[in-house]
Amino acid sequence: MRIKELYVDGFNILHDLVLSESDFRTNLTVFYGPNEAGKSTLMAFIRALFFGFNLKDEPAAEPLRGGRSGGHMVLEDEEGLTYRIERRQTGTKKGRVRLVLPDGTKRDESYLRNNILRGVTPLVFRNVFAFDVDELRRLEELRNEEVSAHVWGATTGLEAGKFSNALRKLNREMDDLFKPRGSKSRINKLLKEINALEEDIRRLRRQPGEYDFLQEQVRRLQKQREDLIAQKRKIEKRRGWLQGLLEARRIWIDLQDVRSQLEEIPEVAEFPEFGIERLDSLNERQRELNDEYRKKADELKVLTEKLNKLVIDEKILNHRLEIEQLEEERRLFVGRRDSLAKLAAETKRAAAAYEEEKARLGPGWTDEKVAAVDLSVAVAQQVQDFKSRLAGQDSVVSTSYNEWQNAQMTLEDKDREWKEAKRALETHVVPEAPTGVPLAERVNILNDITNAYHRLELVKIERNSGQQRLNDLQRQRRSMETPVSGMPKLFTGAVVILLVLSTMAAFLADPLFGGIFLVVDAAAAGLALRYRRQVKDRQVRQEEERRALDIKIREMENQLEDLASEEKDLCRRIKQGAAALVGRDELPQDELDGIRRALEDEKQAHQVRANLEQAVHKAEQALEGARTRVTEAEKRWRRAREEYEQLHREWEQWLERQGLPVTLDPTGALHFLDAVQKARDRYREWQRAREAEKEVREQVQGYLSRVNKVLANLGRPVAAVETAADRVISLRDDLRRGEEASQEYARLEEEIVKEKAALKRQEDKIRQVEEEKMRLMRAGGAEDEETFRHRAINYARRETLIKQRAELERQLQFIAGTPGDRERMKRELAQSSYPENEGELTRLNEEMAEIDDKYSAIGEQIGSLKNELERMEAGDDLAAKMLEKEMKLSLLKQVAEEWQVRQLCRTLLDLAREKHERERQPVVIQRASTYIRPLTSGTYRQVIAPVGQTDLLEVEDGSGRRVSVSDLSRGAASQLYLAVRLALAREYASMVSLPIILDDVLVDFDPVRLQGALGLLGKLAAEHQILMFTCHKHILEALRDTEVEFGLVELG
Amino acid sequence: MAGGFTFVHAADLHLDSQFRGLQQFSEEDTWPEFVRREIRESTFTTLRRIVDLVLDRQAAFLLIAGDVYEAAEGSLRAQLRLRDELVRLAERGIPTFIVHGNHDHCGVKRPAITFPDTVHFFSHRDVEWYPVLRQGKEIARVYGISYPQRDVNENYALRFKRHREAPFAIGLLHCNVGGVPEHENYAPCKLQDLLASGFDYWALGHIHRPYQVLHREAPAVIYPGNPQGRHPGETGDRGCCVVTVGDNGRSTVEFVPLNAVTWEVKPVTIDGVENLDRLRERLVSVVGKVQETNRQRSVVIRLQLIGRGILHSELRKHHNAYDLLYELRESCVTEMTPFVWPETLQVLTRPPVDKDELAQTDTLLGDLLNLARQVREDPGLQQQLRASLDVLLNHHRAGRYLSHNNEEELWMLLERAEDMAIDYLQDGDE
Repeated sequence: MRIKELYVDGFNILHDLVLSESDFRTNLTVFYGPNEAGKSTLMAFIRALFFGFNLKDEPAAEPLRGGRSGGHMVLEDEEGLTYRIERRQTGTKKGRVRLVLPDGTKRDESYLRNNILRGVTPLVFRNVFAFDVDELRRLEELRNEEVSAHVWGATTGLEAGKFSNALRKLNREMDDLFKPRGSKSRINKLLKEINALEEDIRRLRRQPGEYDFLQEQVRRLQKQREDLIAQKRKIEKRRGWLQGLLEARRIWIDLQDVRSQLEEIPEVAEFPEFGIERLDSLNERQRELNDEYRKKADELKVLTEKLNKLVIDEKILNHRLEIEQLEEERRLFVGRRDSLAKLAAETKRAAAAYEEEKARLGPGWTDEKVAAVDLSVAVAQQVQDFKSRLAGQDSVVSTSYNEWQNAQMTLEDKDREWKEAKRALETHVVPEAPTGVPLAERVNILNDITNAYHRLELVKIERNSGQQRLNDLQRQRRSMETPVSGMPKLFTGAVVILLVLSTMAAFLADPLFGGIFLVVDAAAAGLALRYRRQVKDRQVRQEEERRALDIKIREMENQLEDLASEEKDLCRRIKQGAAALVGRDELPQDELDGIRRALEDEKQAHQVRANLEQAVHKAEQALEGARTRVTEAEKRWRRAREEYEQLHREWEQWLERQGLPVTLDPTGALHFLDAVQKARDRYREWQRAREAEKEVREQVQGYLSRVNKVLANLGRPVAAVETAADRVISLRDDLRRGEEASQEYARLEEEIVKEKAALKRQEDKIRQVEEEKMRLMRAGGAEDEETFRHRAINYARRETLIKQRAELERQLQFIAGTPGDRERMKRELAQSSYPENEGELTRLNEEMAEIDDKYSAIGEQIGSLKNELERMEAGDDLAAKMLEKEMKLSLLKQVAEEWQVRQLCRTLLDLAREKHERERQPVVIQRASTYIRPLTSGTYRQVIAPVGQTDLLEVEDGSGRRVSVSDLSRGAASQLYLAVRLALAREYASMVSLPIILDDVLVDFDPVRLQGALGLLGKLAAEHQILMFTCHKHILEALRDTEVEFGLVELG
Repeated sequence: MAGGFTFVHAADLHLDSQFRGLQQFSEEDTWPEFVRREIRESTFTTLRRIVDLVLDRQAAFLLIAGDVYEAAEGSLRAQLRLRDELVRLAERGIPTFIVHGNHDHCGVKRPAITFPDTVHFFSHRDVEWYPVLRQGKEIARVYGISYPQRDVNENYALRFKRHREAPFAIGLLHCNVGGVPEHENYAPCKLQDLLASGFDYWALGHIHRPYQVLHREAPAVIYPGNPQGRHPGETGDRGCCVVTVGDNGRSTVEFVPLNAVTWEVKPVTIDGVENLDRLRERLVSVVGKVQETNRQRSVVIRLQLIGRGILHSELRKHHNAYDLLYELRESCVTEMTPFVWPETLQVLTRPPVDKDELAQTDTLLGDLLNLARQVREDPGLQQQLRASLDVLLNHHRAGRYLSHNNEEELWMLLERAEDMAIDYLQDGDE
């Protein structure tokens, strides 16, 4: 695409600048002018047309020298099609663009951006297509992705920046994973953790050894403890011995003392045991026996005196049994005696009660008669039986009587109803029929007449309308008799002649007019012919219609005839009906409703009569039924009454048989039997009272006679009933006194015998004691009591000392243990002193305390060691740590793999890049290499671009030496960048071809290289429009010196 | 023969194993104590189950063919727990015969733990034998020898001499029959050596693969394998052998799985998975199936995301994968045993590109892929790449724990490096 025309209306310092097609005649156009002539502004204007006003780093768009802000440009593509781009300053910052396509269509900014510029951004345009000398050298812009992508994109197959980003990312990730000297990276951290775990594991691994060591220690300590226990036992034994010595010393001294005492007392070989005590005891016994003897002799004397004084009544003692018997029954006697009056009163009262009950039964009832009445349960049951039977029969009688009475009342009701029904039937009247024809038939006839009248009316209407229709048809037929009117033939002929004549006249007058008339004639003739054909058609159609009408008229006439005959039939039917219905020849239609009502009434009356007759019949039947029921009920009542009377007679006979009053009804009979029962009870009570009184009276008299018999035997006065009891009491007392005296006498006699025997025994005892005393003294080797006593003292003293000696020996043995130990102890006691023993004991106690301390310390040590051992046995710390370590190691390997993968990836990337740089320089760089030769007059042969580092371009000279851009001179660097930018422009050309605008970029070039550059531009211009701005005359001159064809526009 | 009897043959208990290779997802991934405890306790739980089995089957004796402890010095806990369990057998008068293997060899001093008299540890000096008596009659004779040190290169099998009068001769030996390459070649011997010995049963240990029957009968030569997997590579059910010897001296062997924790590795492809939610559902379903099939024991499951798909770049973001794992655990794990614990989620997915096609292009990535492939043939290039890793692998501290990569490992790292280069350089990445 190239610029064909350009117009600046107003843009910064440019105003009304017109560059026409002739100015762009050649592909290389040089714009020459002094500074501020507007060259750069023109380049800015072209950029503004493409991308909008007021872009960054661009001159302001406001016109400084007049005109409306904006302008336009015409572009021409490879096929010669033109596009007009116009941009005007509007409200928006960029201004409004109007794009006119070759076909005149108008488009906007987006079309320009996507279809003309094909996505080339202002940045790319400034880097590749339109730049000044400063922009040429702005190295960093080449690094821009959009641009560098074009350097490498095609060959690396990578998006811009991918490679360096990938490397950066890899490096970052690898640093996160591992740093040889770091501590925060993942691997470094893991290593640290693993080290710590290993340390723990090492420590825990030592456990088995430690465990053995600890166990050994425990064993050693246990041995020590056992030694201590043995030592302790030894000391304890010695300590016990010493304590024994201390305790035994007192005993030992006593023993020595006892021994010396024993040696001093003369020996008494034998002496009776408890000799003195026994002697004393015998003396005491002798004294007591003597005292007792004296006392008993006194008592015997007193008893004998008492016996002699006693007197006894023998007579009363002989009646002891009788008196005791009477005394025993005395209280009973007094009770009976006192109850006699009460019993007599009771007998009297019972007799009166009986008489009263008997009187209640009525006169003539004796004791025997009362006793003869049968009061058994069977009799009562029979009465009950009669009672219920009589009551039952009575109820049957009254029920049947009631039924008879009810039936009589029903009979009366039914009779009344029958009479009423008969009366209603007699009063009901049925109207008389006008003819002898039955009612149902007359109803049918009436319906028939009604229908006939309706049909008659319809027939009349149909006849009238048929007649009218017939008239119409006849009228229509008549109208068709007139023929269709055609065009009068004369009139036609006249017209023809007139036309022929006028035509001829016209021809004569002027051939033109003649011609016209001829045409008119022809038209008239045509019209006439057409009219005739139409008339003929109409006539044929009329004839067909006429025939059809005739048929219709005939049909209608037939129809009317049929209707007339039907009318006649209907009138005849009405007449016949009237005769049957009302007995007349005629029956006008308006009477029909009246007749219908009369027929309805007649029908109703017949229905009522039938109902009444049925009612009378029913009433008659009911009356007959009632009569029958009355008769039957009466029969039942009479039979029941007879049965009742029979039963009553049976009852009376039964009463007679039982000896009961025949006037009693069953209930009364039951009451009477109760009364007999009561009378019988009273009688029994009276008899019982009488017998009781008699019995008591006999007993009282018996007792009194027994008392008087005893009194008579004792010679005492006779007693009455009232005094008998007191006399028995007096007898009893006398008897007791006699018995007591008798008993006392016997007792005294017995005691006196006993006392005498006791005195004899006492004398024997005293003698025995005397003998025993003598024996005792002889046994003690003494003849008298004094010697005996002296010998006893010596003997006892020796005995005590010997016992003491034995006791002390026993105590010593108790302290020492065995007899051998006791002897050893005695020896040691004899050889040592108390303070010596005490000193040794104190020393041993101290030793013992020390051992105890040691013992508990060792116990504690063993306890803590055992705890440690138990902890070691139970713990799974080692396993936990080992698992933890293994997991960390796995993770370490995993992370290490991650690092290795990245490291390999990075190395591969480096190797690939190196290979790529060496073997696959991008097309852009290859093309730049062909440009660098003419631009540097052959000094440099090749441009090299390291992958991903387009700002670090290098050039290679003829000897293969690479020089990086930073080491190049200002001019050479400009040439290198120009080569690269031109190559890029060519690269872009495959996508979009835009004019290249170079704003004085060749200023740094020396004449030789300038020549080379201009030659190159000339060649490029063959395919690409180039606008070259310069203010340097030498450049223009140099260009002129070349063979390059170019156009020149002088500005300013 | 004095009537039939049963015995249990176990080996390689590795009590208090370290469980090498358990992987957390990352440093922030902390595991709950109940999971750690179950894993730590697993070898002991398995031991308890073995003893239960002996009691349950009313076995006459228990054989343990070496590597009872993980460490030669034997953790105190391991020895105490072994003693406690064997006391249970001793209380019933059931003897236990143990040889030490390369892991728990006799070259180091172990804590002095007193075992019951019925527990017989074989000497490391020479083959010893013990009779097994029932009601005063000998029913079997157990021969065995322990390792004096870790490396035993002698063919111990040749030292085993059967007594003519032994009613049923059992050889208890920790050895590598036929030089199985995945285990060290300790006490190497040939199957023929064992078959020619005249023994009735060879109770072997050392090979961890479950239930390896080298010879079925007369004599049966059997490795029961380790009853509890020691690392995520030892997957599946493991256990020990119940051997029933009939009146006629013929033995039948039943393998009984009784491991406490099962290790599982489950690859889950992202092929055809459109988003992370779908992937989450797929993972939940995988874990759910594992849960259904393992009602008796806990499972530690390593999930490997594989395949190529659009989710690759999402999964490459650390937080996405971690969130997936975290949510999976939230939804599937309850604090009850047995449990299924998703150990980690390894993202082994590939970018959805055809690397062969990419390698054909003249792009930088094409060059990179070609270079990576060239490494296999170019020792110089390989050396250059290996050298680039030395900064880590030869690091004075890290080098202690990290080994240099063998070829296979290097190829794997290179493959991942290629994928990473593609991820980082291709469109769409930041």
